[in-house]
Amino acid sequence: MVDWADGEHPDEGTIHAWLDGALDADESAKMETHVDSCASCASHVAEARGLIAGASRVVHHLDDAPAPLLRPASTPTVSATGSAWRMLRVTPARASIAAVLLVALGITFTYEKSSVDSSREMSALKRVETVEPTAGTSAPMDERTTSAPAAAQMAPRQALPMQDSVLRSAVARRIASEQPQRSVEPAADAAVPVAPPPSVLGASAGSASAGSRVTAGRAEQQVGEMTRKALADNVSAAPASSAPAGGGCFRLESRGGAPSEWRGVPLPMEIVLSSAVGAPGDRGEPRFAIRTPREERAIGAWTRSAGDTLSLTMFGASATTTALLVPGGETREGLAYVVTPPRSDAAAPASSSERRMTLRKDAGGLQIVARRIACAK
Amino acid sequence: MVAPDRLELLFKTYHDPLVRFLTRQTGDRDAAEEIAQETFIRALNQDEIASERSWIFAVAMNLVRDEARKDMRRRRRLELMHEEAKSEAVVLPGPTSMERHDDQAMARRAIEMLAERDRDALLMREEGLSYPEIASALELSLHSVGTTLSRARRRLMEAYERLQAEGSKAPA
Repeated sequence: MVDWADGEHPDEGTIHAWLDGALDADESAKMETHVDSCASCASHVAEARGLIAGASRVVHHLDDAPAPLLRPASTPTVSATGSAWRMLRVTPARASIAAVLLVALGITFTYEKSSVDSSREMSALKRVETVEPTAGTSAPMDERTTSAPAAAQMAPRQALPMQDSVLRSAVARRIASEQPQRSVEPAADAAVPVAPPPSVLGASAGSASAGSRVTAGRAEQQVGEMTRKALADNVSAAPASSAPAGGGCFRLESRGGAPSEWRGVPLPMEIVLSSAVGAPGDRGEPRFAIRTPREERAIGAWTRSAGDTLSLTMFGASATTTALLVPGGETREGLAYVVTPPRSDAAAPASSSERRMTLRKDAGGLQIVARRIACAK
Repeated sequence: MVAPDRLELLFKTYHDPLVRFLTRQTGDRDAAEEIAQETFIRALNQDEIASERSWIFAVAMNLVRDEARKDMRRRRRLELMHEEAKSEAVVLPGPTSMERHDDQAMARRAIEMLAERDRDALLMREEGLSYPEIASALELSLHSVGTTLSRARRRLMEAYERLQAEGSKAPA
């Protein structure tokens, strides 16, 4: 790699390669010897050191608060600094795409590999059973999903007040406008009406076209079929108790312990992974429930891969959030990200391009740490 | 196809550096996130990846270029619409004095003054890619990586210092 002959001086590129540690031992030794005896090269080396440090400093300035924030968010402009990127992000078209889509992360994996490896990361679309929000803990899990990208953009990087979060979605606005706020007391009285679950399809009815809903329904059915077999491994492998060895209880926190939320549920949250098949009509995925002092409420499905990666999935009307939690020492860590297929307006089976999905880290780039906790309370 | 387990590991290992690299490239964190995700999706459909880091950065870089081309087309359309509406030239807003004095804005302007390849090589190096990885990602000879990096660093510093000098002369 050294590109200079004896008696000549190394060129600037070679000096940078040397300072970057890219020369092998012989080349480095030759360079050192030469620089020791060549004042001109020594000055070039000093200059190169300055350039390397200076350029690195300038590059790190790029990581400061982004320049586009200096402009009011309400004045979309095409700036000379290339921030037209911003224009690409959330458009009515994209928001409408997000509003009609229903898919889990697992579809990516299972669609192509379900016959090969049934224990991979799986997610199945399923209704999220919720009750009405009570203070601080329970909001509809599919809120914020009608326009997930838009919501992701709008959502500040810190935890949001629950009500703001709910109102952010068109679904929630519709619910809010059509239904009075209710609260649910501890279930001492079985006659207390449980709010109807915000149906995945029903919730999107206000904003999705009929064709899209048909497609979404088909996708839901398809994913359910594809994943059932794989999920059966988890179900059959685990004892039929409510907190089996294959599941257990975990406390989910945001990394660093900063206040945060995952799809509207404040962190830290305690969850119970159960292998129990749910109520009649349920597809029978192992589910995970949020555990509060007052209740356990199913909010999603979970799977465990052969590599012992735990996959927690919350389903929504337009997007599904999956957290992949990779084991590491005492805890598991991972990222929560939203899975949104790019389009589903065609009734035909998804082509390879249509199967392409967008993984987005959840709003705020949520990084989750899971700690196993005792299930007994 | 890359196994999901492998993809997870790729995601875990390279996601953050890749997003930082792309944010530095584009100046837009959200666009960077989207391109990073697209990169990992492409990895999923890849049979085999010999040199993971250079493959991932090379694919991401190409996606940036694709997006930039689309962006240019959109921008041209937008400008045409403006011209039709106002029948006068669209004057893109210049940087504010606030931005002019801002290190970040100056760094962005300086980095954008670099030739594409120089910028790519420099930002990859800042993410810790080795010379062979940079050579592979940019399809350069190994020797020319040092030359490319030295040129990129020199030009970046020259541009940055020039902007600083202009900023200090400009009225606050």
